Formats: sequence, structure tokens, C-alpha cells
Amino acid sequence: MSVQPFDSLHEDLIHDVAYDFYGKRFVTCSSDQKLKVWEFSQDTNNWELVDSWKAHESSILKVAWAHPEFGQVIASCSFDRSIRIWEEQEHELKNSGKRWLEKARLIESKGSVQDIAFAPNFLGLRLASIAADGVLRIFEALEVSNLAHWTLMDEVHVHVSRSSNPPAFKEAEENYCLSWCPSRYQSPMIVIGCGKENNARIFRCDQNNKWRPCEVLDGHEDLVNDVDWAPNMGRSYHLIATASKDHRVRIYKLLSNKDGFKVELVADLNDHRTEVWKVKWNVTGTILSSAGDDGKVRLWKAGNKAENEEGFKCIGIVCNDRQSNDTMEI
Amino acid sequence: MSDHLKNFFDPRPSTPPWSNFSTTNPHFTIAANHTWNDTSHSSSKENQILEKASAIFVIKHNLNSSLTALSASPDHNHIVVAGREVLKVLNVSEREITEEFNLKNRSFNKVSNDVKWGNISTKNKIATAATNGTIVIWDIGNGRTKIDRKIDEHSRAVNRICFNPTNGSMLLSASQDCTMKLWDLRESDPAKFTFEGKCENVRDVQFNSINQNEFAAAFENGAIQKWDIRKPSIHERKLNAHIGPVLAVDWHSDGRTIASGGRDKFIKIWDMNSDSRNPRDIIGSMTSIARVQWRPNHPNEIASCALLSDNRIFIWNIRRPFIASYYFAEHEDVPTGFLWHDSDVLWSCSKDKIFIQQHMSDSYRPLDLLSKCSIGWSVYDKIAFSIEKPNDSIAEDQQVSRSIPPSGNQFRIMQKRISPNIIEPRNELQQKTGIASLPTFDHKAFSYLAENYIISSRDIWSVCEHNAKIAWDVQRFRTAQTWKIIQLLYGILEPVDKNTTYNDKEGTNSLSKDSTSTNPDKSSGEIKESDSIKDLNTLTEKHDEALDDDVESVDDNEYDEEEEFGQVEDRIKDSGVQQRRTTIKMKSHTVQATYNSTLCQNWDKESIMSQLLDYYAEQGDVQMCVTLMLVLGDRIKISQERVEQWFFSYIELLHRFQLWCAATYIISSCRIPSVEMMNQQSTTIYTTCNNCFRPILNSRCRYWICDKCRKMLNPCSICHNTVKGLYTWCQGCSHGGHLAHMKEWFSVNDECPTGCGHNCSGRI
Repeated sequence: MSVQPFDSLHEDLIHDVAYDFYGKRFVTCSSDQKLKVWEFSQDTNNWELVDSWKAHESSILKVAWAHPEFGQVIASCSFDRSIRIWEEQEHELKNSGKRWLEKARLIESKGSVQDIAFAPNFLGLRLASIAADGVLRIFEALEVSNLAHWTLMDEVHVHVSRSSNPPAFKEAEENYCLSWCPSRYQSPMIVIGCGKENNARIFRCDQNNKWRPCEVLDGHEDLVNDVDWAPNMGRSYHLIATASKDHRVRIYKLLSNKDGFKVELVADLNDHRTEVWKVKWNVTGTILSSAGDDGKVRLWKAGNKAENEEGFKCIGIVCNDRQSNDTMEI
Repeated sequence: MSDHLKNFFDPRPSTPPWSNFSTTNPHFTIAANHTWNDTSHSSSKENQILEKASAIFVIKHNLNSSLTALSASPDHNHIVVAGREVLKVLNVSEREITEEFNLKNRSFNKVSNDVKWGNISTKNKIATAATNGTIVIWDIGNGRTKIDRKIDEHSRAVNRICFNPTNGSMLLSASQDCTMKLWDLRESDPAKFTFEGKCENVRDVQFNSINQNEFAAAFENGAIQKWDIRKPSIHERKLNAHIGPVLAVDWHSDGRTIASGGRDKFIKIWDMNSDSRNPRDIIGSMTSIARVQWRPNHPNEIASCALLSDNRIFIWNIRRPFIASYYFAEHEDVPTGFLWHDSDVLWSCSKDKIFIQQHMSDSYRPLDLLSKCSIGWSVYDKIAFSIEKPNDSIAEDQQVSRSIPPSGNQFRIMQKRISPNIIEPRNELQQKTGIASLPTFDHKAFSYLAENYIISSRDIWSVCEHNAKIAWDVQRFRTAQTWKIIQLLYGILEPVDKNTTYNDKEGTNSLSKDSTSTNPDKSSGEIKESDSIKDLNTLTEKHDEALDDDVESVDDNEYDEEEEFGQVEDRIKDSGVQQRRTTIKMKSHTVQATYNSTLCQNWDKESIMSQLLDYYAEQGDVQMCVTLMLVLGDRIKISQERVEQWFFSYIELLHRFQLWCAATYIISSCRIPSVEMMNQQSTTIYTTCNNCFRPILNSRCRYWICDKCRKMLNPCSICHNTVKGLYTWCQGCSHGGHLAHMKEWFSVNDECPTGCGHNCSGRI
């Protein structure tokens, strides 16, 4: 295990990092309103900046990479209330600032767009977004070759009780996040961290293509800052992780039953002891990472059943030491 | 933490702990949007609205008319607000807002662009600037409200007016007619000076608060100018500040720095004493900037509001130009004017008809809402991350606040404490970025296995043997052993396989010998495992011998042997994986002893296999699941849905690792229709016949023969055979062939191997 520091060259906080499908490059987004794409160079054995451009008028909160079957496409969302779709122009030079062209600007949100996620590729080129106005919006590029045209397919108020009477929301009080269910054998589902409700809820697309609120992942004592639905990989159950302002990382196990899921809290981890901001599963859904205000990335793995270990164990900590650069404890 | 306590710590609690406050003061009510009719001012029909949860600081006053500007009296006790239908003087105190009088009257029905309250000699005067170019001076002294003077010297709208801060009788105007004019109100003469901005519409003017002879002006063409009124002929300094109109300028209290805001969404900070033509600082906002104003006593902070589409008032720190330090979100339409009462109280008016007095502790801190860390996982189990060094002072704060009991008074103390009077300087970013490589996923082994596993189900014995060896090569000992077990379970029991095993015996043996002899660096920890493999190998070899000698007789003996080993079988059913292994080993000895290979036949293979697959699925090892499914085919009964999931997941992984051939092979070997279909979807290749260059379309001949020249399509240019597998061709001349042949050819040649004369080297 090794940690390789790199200089992000961003002028303010980085809020999200996303690798592409192949793990060959990644994009960072920052409050400095820029997106930067990095590529691994075999020559220098280092990650090198290949392009950087001003992408938004305010802090960029999330960035996502579309499945490569739709081309080289990045979506970013910002405090400036827009979602922007970028496509790589392969004929433009690297680091020219022109390599990524803005193809579309989705401005339907009435508050800062706090999370975006591309749907699993078998659902088409779809993008789910959630903004501070508490509305889940699903966009689709119906003509995959025409990235300039995105249709707003659905708008769903996530606050079940308030849906009939949209509140005069105070943007700053809400924090939303979302994650798609990666399984192709169930109707499309999204888990959403529901702001002031202090919980996360699964929304399911029914036979009539209407998004319905379903199971609640409860037990949170404050805002849910992040949710991540684990890649299923043919397991008999689903896992969803949440990061909360109440200092905890929670993992829920979802077992299918006849009318949905039986939800079980399988881990409630408070090692961070400060607000937790991010949770992210690895590609096979076997390791969970979490990051919080304690300045550490913690790695979690399910205990080995054969050895009678229950729950999730911390298997590693990546931290930023004062003297040395970055160190990793195990 | 109790609910009460939790609310207490929430900066914007939903049920304020000081709710008893409403009983002490009838003007303060807690309910959201509750309207309060001012009984003491029966003439006033306006409503005073108090926001929930922030009653102490936010006071709203509805003026029933869209507002455009506001100004404060020199003593800051009164405010004048101007709007489409109103020009009202308000009495403003810490606790309430009441209407003093209305100046709006019959003779004046133009919209006011700006309003300013005079000072010193004009402290009882109010000036308004109208869209028709008229400037009106109102006298409000001694209870009178009369028009003192009307100035009609501008030919077009006056955008902004400004009293000189040290000499209240000097009034400066900025007009759409490209001029700025200065009047001395002590005289009734026309303008003393007219400053020509060189035919550019003037959007804003402001006197320097230190040097009373200086003023700054903002122009629609993007320029800002500094003038000295003693030199009215020409500007002293000109800067091309913005792209598009500059809408606002504001002098810093230091008398040398100017902030400008433009429709280009930037706030720029200029040092007027420096020779540089570049701004000292730039703040990038998300909307066009309509107004800017430095915050008193906070030399690095400046407030701004938008021209359109954003109802918030932002307060920026020039040291942190990308994230606003605070913002107010009290208005429901675009704010049109704001003014600092002191360093913590801000007055603002808006198109939403409401005047608001708000305190800094009602503001939001965007930084609190932004995550300070991020994580991204790559398929290689690398984590790109950014984390911030933990701030020790935050932890301290929490400790302190925890100890404060939740009562109203103390809440206010805490509010004050939190209320950010001092901004921690943050010139250097605390965030660190890096990439951690985890040893949890060995992609090299994955790729090796993907490329070398045999996935046909025809000859299970040798396939398992081969796959065990492959797994052994990459030190996947557990996987290797699994293959050995599968080999025992499925490889030797069915009559068909027995024959195959017999026929392929030579190959199998050589493979297994190979695997034992080429043990890769046998670490001490693995000795036990490798020994057991060896064990198994020797055993299986012996099996073969047994089979060799006695193939015919096996069927005859089968029945008896089954009876004999029934007990063993029961034990196996109940045992765990580890035990099962030993059992197998033990049984193998028995086999060895009895020279009988059929004992395993009645094992509960299904439950063993489903446990086995569950185990690998749990580990996320879809590679093993899929390979097992392919090798064993329909011998395993398991829900098709799960198998499909494994296939799709595995194929996606192969794609992620760019193992296209392996993925295609898996797809075409799979008998599940939805998986098989993947190879036929969204695949269109446009090519032409390499003989007559006619485009190949899906016609009668189904891609095999060209419609026009009736020749076999696109054989390999080198060996002239039809290519099955990877075909590569030149987009220029349509000639191509086997990938390997083409590689070989073009490693030394540039031209097409057919001799067509085309130089393909760059295109193939």
C-alpha cells in the first residue's frame, strides 16, 4: 500500500473526484470553478494534468463520468444552480483548455445542484440530479449522439409530506445526495439523502414510470451528507452506505422480499468523531471508504463470516500528517 | 443529545428556545409569516413580517411597492426607500421598523432610480434621481415635506447620485446621457461642472470618503474612471475594468482602493495608487453584480447583490475569492439596494417590496455546506482523495458549546460568540490531495486469469486441471484448490467425462506434473496449502491409473460403493468448507485404498456448489463465479437472474480492464440470451469490398460475398484465407487481414501487402 501525493493546482477546496470507467484518468472539481482532468503517464509514472478549464460560475460540487459507450462525457453540477455536460474534443490539444466542450447546460433547478449521478448504462444516457429545492430531476439524452439535447423526464419532490405544498425552502438548511441502484434486475431505483428529514429514502420507478417513495433508511440524527449504493456483483442482497453530519457512517443491508426490501442496519461506525462528508464503495462493492472533517479517509471491509466476524471492520486509514506528507496506517 | 439540545446547537433551530420572547414584546411573534398590524400607526396598511427563528435580528417591512433604492440619514435612525410608487421615510431601530411619512405625491410620478440622504448642511434633504433625468431635492426638515428643488439638466435617465461625504451641499450625478454633473446646492445655479465621460453611459459615481475632491465613475463600456473635481476637463485615471457594463463602484475606507462590479459577474478590486492595469483581486460571482459595498470594520470583506435571478446578498472575503464567506437569503426577489448600518447589521430593499434589517448571525456560511474532502475509486483499487487537515479550533468550539445549557439567554450569548467578527485568514489551502494504491485487488492476476482460464465445459477434468494451474501461477492457492475440488466433484463421475478423461489422460497428467514442479516461490506460509495440492495431484494421478486399469468395471461396482460410503456422505453435508476439504482428502485416501472413483457421486453437490458460489460472490469474485458457471454449464442449478448478474458484472469488469477479447469470448460462450445479445447490439461497422470498393450492406449475401463483384469479401491479404477472429483493415484501401499478419507486414513495410500501391502505414 502506497500513497502518492499530487499537487492538485486548484485554488480552493476540491469537492469531488471521479475516475473514468477504465481507471486511466480522473477529473477533479473545486470551488475555484474549474474542472481538471488528470491522466496517468507511463513515462513519468505520475498523474499529469491534461486539461483544466473554468466550468462554472461558482463552487463545483460534484462531477461524474458517463459510461464510455456514450463517448467521453463529463457532467458537473454547481452552486450556480446549473448542470453542465462536457464532451471531449479529441482533435484539440491537451492543456489547451478547449479539449472539453460544453454541450448542454441544464438550468431547471431552483437551488444549487447538490448531487448528480449517471444512471447505470443499461438505462440509457440518463442523469439524476438533486438540488437544494428538494426536487429530484431526471434528464435523459434521448438521442445519444446529440448531447446538446436533454429532456427533463421526471421531477419528484423528495419530501413526501411536503410535496403538495412546496415549502419556501431555505437553501442553506438542506443538503441532498443521491445514488442509483446498480442492479438491472429490479425496477430503476435511487436512494436519496433527504435533507432536513434526516434520513435517506429509496425511490422506485413503478410500472407506470412514476417515481414513488419507498423504504426509509432511518436512524440518522442529522443531515445525510452522502449516500452510496454498493455495486451488487450478483450478491443476494444490496448494501447502501450513508455519511452523516451526526459523525457516523452507516451501512444498510437490503434483502428483497415480496413488496420491496427488508432494511437492516448492519454497521454504525463513529470512528471519524466529526462530520462525515463522503462514502464511496470500490468497484466490486467489497470495500467502503469514508472521509470526514477529521481529515482521514477510512476503509471498511465486511468481517469474514467463516471466521465468525460480524459487521464491518476498519482495514486502513489514509491520513494527512503534519510533518510527512501523506501516510497510511494499517 | 436530546431534541431540545439538538435544536439549540442548530444555527437555525426550528423551534427557538427563546420563544418566550414573544410574550415580552407584542411586536415579535414566532410563527412564520405571521402578519402583525401596527395598531399604533393606524394609517399604515403595511405589514411587518417577522421570520421564524430569527426574530431577534431579521425584521421585514412590506412597503407594497417594488423598491429600487435606499439611503440612510446621517445618524442612521431613518431610512428612505424609493420605489415605483413609494418614497417613504422609515424609522428604524434595533427592534422595529415604523413608517415616518410618505414623500410620494402627485407632482412626481417617475420611477426613482436612486435616492440619497444628504449630510451636514443637507442632513434634512433627500435627493432622488428619476428615469426621465429629473433630480428632485426634498426638504424634510421641521416636519415639512416639500420639494426644495427640481433639476432638469440631464437629457436622459440619471442612474446614480451621490452627496459629497464631507460637504453635503455637493451633489454628483451619473446619467445615461454620458455625463456626470456636480451641483452646489447652496446656489440655485445650474451644474457647476459637467464631466464628460467620452460618450459612455455612466452607471455609478461615488466620492472618495478620504479625499473629498476625488470620485470614481462606472461606465457601460466596461471602464472605470477616477476624477478630480478640480480638473473637470479630463479624468485622472481610466481602467478597462470589465467586459460589458460596470454597474457599481465602491471606495474602500482606505481611500485608495476601489471595488467594481460588472455584468461580467466579477467583482474586481483596484489599487488606484498603483500603476498596474490589473486588478489587485478578483472575485468570481455566479451572477452579474448590480451593487457592491465594503463591510465596515472588515477591510477584506465586501457585500454584493445580483442584477438578476439571484435573491441573495453575498459577503465575500477578498482572500477567499471563490467561496462567499456569508450570504443572506431573506428576499424573495432580486435585491435592488443595500446598506451597512454597522459591521453586523445590513439593510436591504428588493423588488419583492420588502425592506429588511438583518444581522450577520442570520447569514449562512456557504463553507459550512461544502464538503472539505472527496474520494474517488478506480477499478484498480486506487483511491484519489482530497482531505483537509482537521481544524483543532473547531473541536474546541464544540467542547465549549456542549457545556452551555440550552436556555434562551445563553443562546444569544453563543450566537454572539459564533457571530463571525473576525475572519480567520486563510491564504493557504489546508487541503491535501493524493492517490492511495490499495493491495486489495490484484488486477494483474485478474487479467492473467481472464486471459488464460479455459471456459469450455466439454472436458471438465482437464479444464479444471488447467484452471487450477493457472490460478496456482498467480498464487491464488485457494482458487486453485477450489478447481481441484470441482475436478473431483464433477470431473470423474459422469460416464461421458470418464471416457474423455481416459482419452486425455496424457495431457492431464503432464499438466498436473507441471503445476507441482513449477511451484512458484513457495512461501513458508503457503507450504501447507501447496502440500495439500500436491497431495491432491498425486491422488488424482492415482485415480487416473485406477481408471486406466479398470474403466470397464467401474459401472458394475458403482451400486455397492454408494452404499458403502453413505455415512461419509452425511458427514460431508453438515461440515463447513474447511472440514469439507479434509474430508475430501480423507475420502481420497479411501478412494486410493479401494481403487474406486465413484464414491463422490452422491455428494450433495448442489448445496456445496451453492455455498461455494455464495462465498465467491460475497468476495466480489465474479470471475470465479462466471468461470465456474461456464465450465460446469447446466450441471449447476442456480437462479438465472443471479447468473446473469455475475455475467454482466464480470463482462463490465473485463471491459474496464480493456480485456476486450476475453469479454467477447465470455459473451459468445454464454448461453443466456440477454448476455449473448450484447455482441449484436450497437455494433455497426461501415466498410467496403476490398475488390470493387462498393460499400458492404446487409443484403442477400449476408456480408460474405460482395453484391457487385460476387467475390468473397475481405480475405487476409497475406494468407488469402477468410479471417475468423480479429480482422484489421486499412480505411484507405479497404485491404486488411489477420491482425498478426498485418502487424508483421507493417513492422517492415509501409505499403499495402496487396500491391495496390496505397500507403497504409499510418492508418492501420
